[in-house]
Amino acid sequence: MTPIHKEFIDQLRQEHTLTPEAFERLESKSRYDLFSVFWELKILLYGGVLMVSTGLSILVYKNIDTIGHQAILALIALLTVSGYAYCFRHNALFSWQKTNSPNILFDYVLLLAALCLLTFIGYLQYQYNVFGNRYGLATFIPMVILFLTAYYFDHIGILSLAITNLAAWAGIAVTPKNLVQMNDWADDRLIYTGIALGLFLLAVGYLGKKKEIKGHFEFTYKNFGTHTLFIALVCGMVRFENYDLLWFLPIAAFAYYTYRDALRNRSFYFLLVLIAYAYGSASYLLLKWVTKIPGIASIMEYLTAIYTIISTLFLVRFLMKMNKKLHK
Amino acid sequence: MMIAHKKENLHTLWLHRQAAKAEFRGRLSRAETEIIEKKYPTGLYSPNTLIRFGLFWLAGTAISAGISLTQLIFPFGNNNILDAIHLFVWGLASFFILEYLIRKHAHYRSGVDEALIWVLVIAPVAGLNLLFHLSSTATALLAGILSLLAILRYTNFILVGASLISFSVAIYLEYTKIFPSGKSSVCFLLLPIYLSVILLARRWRREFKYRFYDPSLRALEMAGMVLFYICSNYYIQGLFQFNFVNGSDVNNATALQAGWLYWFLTISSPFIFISIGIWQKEAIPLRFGLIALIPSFLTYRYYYHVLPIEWVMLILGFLLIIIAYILTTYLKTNRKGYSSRLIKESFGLEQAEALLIAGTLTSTGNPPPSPATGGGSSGGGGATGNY
Repeated sequence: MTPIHKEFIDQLRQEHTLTPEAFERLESKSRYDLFSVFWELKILLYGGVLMVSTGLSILVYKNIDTIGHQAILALIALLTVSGYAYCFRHNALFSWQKTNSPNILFDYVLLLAALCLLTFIGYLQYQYNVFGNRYGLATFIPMVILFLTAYYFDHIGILSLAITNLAAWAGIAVTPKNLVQMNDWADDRLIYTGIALGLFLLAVGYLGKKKEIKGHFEFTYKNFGTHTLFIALVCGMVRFENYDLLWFLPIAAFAYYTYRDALRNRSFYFLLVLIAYAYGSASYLLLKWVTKIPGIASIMEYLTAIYTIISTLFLVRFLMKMNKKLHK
Repeated sequence: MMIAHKKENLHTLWLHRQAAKAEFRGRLSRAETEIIEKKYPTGLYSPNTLIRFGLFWLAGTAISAGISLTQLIFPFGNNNILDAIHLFVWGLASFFILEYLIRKHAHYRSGVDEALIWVLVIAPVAGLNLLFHLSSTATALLAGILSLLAILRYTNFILVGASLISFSVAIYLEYTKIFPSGKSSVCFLLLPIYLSVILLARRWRREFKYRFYDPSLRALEMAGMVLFYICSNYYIQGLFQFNFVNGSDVNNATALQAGWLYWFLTISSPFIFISIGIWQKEAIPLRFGLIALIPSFLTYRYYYHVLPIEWVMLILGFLLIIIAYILTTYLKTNRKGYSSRLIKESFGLEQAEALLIAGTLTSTGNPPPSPATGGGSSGGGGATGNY
């Protein structure tokens, strides 16, 4: 452990910065200095849950017709029931406010149990076709269970899983990796669904905070909602190119709303997100219009470079100002 | 070498870091740390990490657009000399803008300064390469030296990894040039170098006179560990000794020179790093060791199939959970300072963890295939049109 430097303590003492009691603490032997392994244990647990849930899925997939279905079902059910039982036993009383988990293990046992439950339901559908051809139901039921679990046990990770399942039920992949890659944003129906889903998530987050129903879940809802809504609107602007200005208006309005909200909550993250989307779509629109001016093609490259320099420098100044403003 | 920043500013920043360290170890309270931060304002412009990222991206875009614009205005064709001068001018311009921003506005890890530092190093290297058609070794050496000079002057850690990699490449290329069959033995030279780098960085971090370089030394220690691990990994050695050298299959493990040593290092080094981290209460080796367990496991798995992958995952997964359970229970109360409690809440880390879970652990997070294209149902026999 690198030491607390003597020069640091000397300077503070000379300038009477702290109380004598604080200096005593600063100069005590470093042998028993506090060293938290909280995040390291989380890495271990995350790795463990990732391996068990993936291993279980592969086991089910590979042995679907070779070993008794009941044996596999029993194993998964056992993990699910024992996981939930542990969490019910150790959970504090339910509250609509934020509740802290009793220990690090609790969060990941619950996560493993929830994932096993998903595998269990998926297996039931695959093997016994319990939901028949109602594919929506096969996604809807796990989603409801995940939401109930997230709210009852106050688990942001499971809430994120529930939201991705809600989006999957609506036909959209919203995990950070898949939001752009996996969806066919040229599809009109997907664009409208994306807008509806984004607005719905934002509304749930907003109402949750206002009505104090797990108000701290707001960020998670807002995060998924903001990205989904922005991407759907930007794709709408590109897809319906004859009405691009009409599509840009809601982008600008939502960017302004996000800006006000970022200021209110002192959120650097949402400020950056709105700049990326608003700047990208405004630049797209502007350069598209300029290209249409007759005879401009020969200097278009120059104009694009000049525009990029001026606009990015303006944004640099803007971000620096905002940094000051949000820090106040 | 003279540091560009005002030393008083860097000194107060160091005081803040020391206070934060003392708070993290339970020697100071949050209120006491705030007293120190208020009494010694740094005067440096170091924005929030996210803003810093945004500024880096925007400044980088502006510089790229600037380079494109000057290329459009002055089309040099294929004239290497003019192209090189063009790059030198940009390098110089970046230097002067950077110096101005540091002196007038005290930029320190602001994102803008970091984008300029990159240009400051890359532009002259590319320019000299165009002018003199430098060899790969000379290019790597030049990049390493310029990065090192930039680190020394701007006390910024962003180029530490690039600098160490550049020097490693230079050593590798020169060594294999002198000894044509040296691709299998170059690691015997590089491994002690990385070990020295790690030890030296750890030692210098303890010295008061190097206090301004503490973040760079931390980055150096981390880069040293990463490169040490890469160099000692059996699979990567296989790539070096077979694929890169003979073009043969990396699976040809039996003929790997000093294979036993690389196996030993692949398996043991994560545990050595973890042990050092626990023993010395240092987060860097501990976290790196934990992460390095994954490639070590994958390397072993690549050559030896003891059990089917699903069973390996299940057994290892349960093992990890059990180890974590035992440690959590054991460290519920402080044991010689070790604790499983969270000392300082981090909203950002909590949200990042939730996103990681949603992104990697979901089994039904993607939309189900459309029933219309799902292959149909045998029950209907086509009568319903549900093929």
